[in-house]
This record gives sequence, structure tokens and C-alpha cells, in this order.
Amino acid sequence: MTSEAAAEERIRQDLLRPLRGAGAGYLAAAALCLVVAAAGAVAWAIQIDRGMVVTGLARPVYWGFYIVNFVFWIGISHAGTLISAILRLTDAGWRKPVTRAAEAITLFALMIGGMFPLIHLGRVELFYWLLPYPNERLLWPNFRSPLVWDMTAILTYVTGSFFYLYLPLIPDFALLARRTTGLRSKICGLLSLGWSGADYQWRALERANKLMAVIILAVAVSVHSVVAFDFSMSLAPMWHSTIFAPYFVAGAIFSGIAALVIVMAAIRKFLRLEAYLRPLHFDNLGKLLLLMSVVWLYFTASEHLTVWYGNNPLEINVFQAREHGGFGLASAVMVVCNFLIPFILLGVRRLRAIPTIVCSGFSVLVGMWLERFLIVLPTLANPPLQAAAGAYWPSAVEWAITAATFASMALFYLLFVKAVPIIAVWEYEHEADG
Amino acid sequence: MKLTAEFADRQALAAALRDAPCNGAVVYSAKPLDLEPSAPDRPGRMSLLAVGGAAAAGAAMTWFMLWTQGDYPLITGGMPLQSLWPIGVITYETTMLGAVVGTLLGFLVEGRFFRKRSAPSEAVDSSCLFLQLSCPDGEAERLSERLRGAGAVSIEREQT
Repeated sequence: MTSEAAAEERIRQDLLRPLRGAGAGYLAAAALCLVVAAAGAVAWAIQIDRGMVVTGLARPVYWGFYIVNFVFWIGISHAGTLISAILRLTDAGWRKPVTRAAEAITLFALMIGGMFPLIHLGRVELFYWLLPYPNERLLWPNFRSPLVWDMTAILTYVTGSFFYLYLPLIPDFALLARRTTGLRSKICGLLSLGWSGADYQWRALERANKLMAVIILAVAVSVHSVVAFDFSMSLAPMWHSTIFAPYFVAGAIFSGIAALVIVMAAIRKFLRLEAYLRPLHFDNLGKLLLLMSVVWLYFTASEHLTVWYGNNPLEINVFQAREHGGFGLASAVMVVCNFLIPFILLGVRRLRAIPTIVCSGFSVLVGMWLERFLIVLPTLANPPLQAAAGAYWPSAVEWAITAATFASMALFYLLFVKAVPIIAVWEYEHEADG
Repeated sequence: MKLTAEFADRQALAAALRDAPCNGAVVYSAKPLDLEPSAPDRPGRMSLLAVGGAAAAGAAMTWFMLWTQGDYPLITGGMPLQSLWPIGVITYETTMLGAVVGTLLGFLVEGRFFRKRSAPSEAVDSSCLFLQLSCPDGEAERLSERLRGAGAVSIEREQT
């Protein structure tokens, strides 16, 4: 065996090793996630049974945790496709160990985020009314409704993200079909579509990956813009803003990178892939996170300055509630988490290391969840008619469903890392080759 | 006659492609190889399929929206029943969905996943590279010699 062949074999063994067996720690983590996710499912069942009265939603606050979580998870989903697509199109070599982990985040976050409009509907059994199908009254959906836009955009994004994740998996499925036995080998064989490694297949895969990267970039930007349109198409104070779409997209990329950093650090540590996910990858992502932190601050400052300077009575009322009223503390924490902590930990070169980058990631996730919370709640709690102002406090059902989404994300990921190599074997070998 | 030659490294394979030119030669490997310009290249139509899929899906959805809104005119509170601004969002998304489907179709066609072809099954899990080519029976011996000369480790012959 030549030295090149021996190196390739070592890479294959290293990257396929996490697929074998499951330790006690893995099983305990999976069981914990399953229990929390099941508790969320029970909470949702209670809500379906008793109605929306079990939530904290009441006049005038009809959008609460569910919409906050919807926007948050759709934002997280931008981790994979945007980062992977941008890096693929710019041919950044360091992306190769990162892309699959990122693309998986996208798919799982979309699956979770896409559930929230259904949970929020209350009568989930009627969700198919959003679909354009011929019914006895020939009543068609209202295509002018942002809710229908959401459904179309998320459907496109889920489909695109699935294939964007699946296409580079095909050669690895073919490899797994040969290296595994029994049912797993058969399933991998089927999923590999009969991949043979022929030169025309590699060329087709390369072209398809490039094309998909272009398409998915356009879709990813549009999806979060559509989520922003849910707010900005209304005439509500501090929602009806022309910069909401780019503001949401920037926030989505920001939170997506934060999620990716955390997931990569977990994979690196627990799957012992230190040789493949190197400090360089974290350093580059840390720099991207720092850049997005500054971009986020720019958008936030632009939005707030414009509202403050305009001094429109309706808007300033919501502005005051966000900055100094009941939401003041959350606002301060948001700025600390989204800007101050990442700026110090990532901006000072000597401090920028894997642990501090991961800390910044956690900080940004908390900050971005609060940002979504602060976009949704103050506007609804402070309607133009002051006498109609109200408050919102989430119920146990909403907390349980929220916790379940985080557990579901972890569970999906735990299952994914045992099903396929988390780093594309062929891409890494190609990278090592180059 | 079909010949399948196994090569231990890329240089030998590149030499074989140069020394034993043959129509329809296919290289099998476990990772993409940068063999251009020695390796045969074929023009792709994937972009056309993607654009075609996008145009078809976008146009079909736009027509569908215009037709359904005319078929059952909903009360819109003064908003035009048929306006390009609001339906533009859905047209855009379905256009992209069509592009995704077109790309997928292009990948399946260009990757020839619909065709049955006997390929060296070990290629997907091997450091070796495989070159498969067809030739007339009388040429097989001469071609095999040239492939060995270029550095083929082994050559298998299969009657077609």
C-alpha cells in the first residue's frame, strides 16, 4: 500500500469511526433529549385538546413564544446553506470539514421552525387549508397573505436544503454500502442511487453542487425576507420598516454561525475529530461571527435611531417600552450578548480560542433569541390605543414546547452523526489531495 | 470487448489516457480527480434544465395564481385582486423550486443514474483508480499492452 493510499484509508477509518456503536454518554444524552421532546409533544397534545386557552396568548398579545421560536429557528437554519453555499462558490478550501455539519443544522432547524406556524395555528388539523387544492366551494387560498408566502418559501427551502445536503452524501452512501453489512448496507446502497464513482458522475455532482449553491443562496435570503414580511407588511409600529428584510437576514446569518460553532465544538470533542476540525476552522468562523456582530449592531442602531429621531407617537411608545419599560432589561442583555461579549472575546486576538469562540456562540444564541422576543412582544403589548395595552407571560405548555425544540435539535443531530459521516469523506480526501 | 484497467496512482492513469486514447473511456475513482485535459469531458446541460425547470414552475404558478384569484374573487379590502407585487413572492419561490427540481433531474441524467452499466464495484472504496474502455476484440491485446506500459497494475477483460 502506498503512503497516499495509507493516508486515505486512515481518513476513511477516522471519519467512519463515529458511526460504530454508541457509548453510555451518547445513550444518556439521546434518552434525555427524547424525554424532553416527548414532554413537548404531550404539551402540544394538551393544547390541541383544550385549545389555545392553555397558552399565555391573550388580547392584545396574540403572537408569543411560538412566533419568537419560529423566527429564531428559521434564522438558525441559515447556518448551513448560506455558509456552505458562500464558501463553496468562493472555493474556500477550509470549508470542507464544516459544510455537512452546517447543512444538517439547516435541515433540522427548518423542520423545527416550520412546525411553529402549525403549532401557532391552534387547530392544526386544518393546516391543509393553506394548500391550493380544489374543494367543493372552489375556494382558493389568498395568495396575497404572508402566511401563504411563508408556506411556499419554507417548502422551497426545505426541499432545496434537503437535496443540497443529500447530493454530496451520495458518494459517502456508496462507501458505507460497501463498509457496512445487513440492512444498513442495503439502505445505504439504495440511497447511493447506484453511484459508481465514474468521472461523469463526479462532474455531474460538481455541477449540481455549484448550481444548488447558487439557488440555495437566493432561496435562503428570500426565506428570511418572507419571515420579515410577516411583520413589515403590517402597519404596526416598529414592524412596518423597509430594512426589516435585510435586518432579519443579517440576524439569521449571525445566529446561524453561532449555532454552527457550538455544534462543531461538540462534534469535535465528543466524536474525537480534533485532527479534522482544527483551530483554523474555529478561528475563521470566529472572525465571521465578529463581522456579523458588527453588522447586526449597525442594523439595530439604524433601526432604533430612525425611530427615535422620527418621534412618531405610535412608534416612540413601543420604542420606550423596549428600551426603558418592561422590556428594558431584555434589551440591555440583548446588546451585551450580541455585541459586547463577542466583540471582546473575538475582537481581541489573544482571547480568540475555541472555548471563547464557543462562549461567544452561546452568548449570540441567547442574544438573538431575545432580539426575536423584543421584535414580537413590545409592539403587540403596546397597541396604538393605550387603554388596550396588555402583558404576556408564557404558560407551562409554551415553555415545554420551546424546550422540546432544543431537545429535538440535539436529538436529530445525535441520530445524524450515527447515520452518516459528519465530514464528507470524499471531500476531505480531495482536500487532502490538493 | 470491455477492458478494465486498475492503476495505483493518478500519474499512471493520466499517462494511460494519453497513450491509449479510446472513445468512451470512463475513469472510476473514490474521489474527484483533476485530470483535465487528459480525461474526456462532455458538455453538460444541467444549467439548461435548471433554467427550464425554473421558468416552467414560475410560469405555471403565476398562471395558477391569476386563474384561482379570478375563479373565486376573495374580498381583499381594497387591494387589487390580481397584482404582481404580492404574487411575485410566490412566483419567485416556485421559480426557485423549479430550479432545484431541474438541477436534480440534470444531475440524474448527466450522472446516468437511469442506465445500467457494469462498473468496478470496488472503485467507491479504493485508493486505486480504474479505467474502463470498449474496443474491438482484435484491438484488445494491443490496447492492454499499452495500458500495462502506462502503469496499469491489472487488466480485466469482459466480452460484451
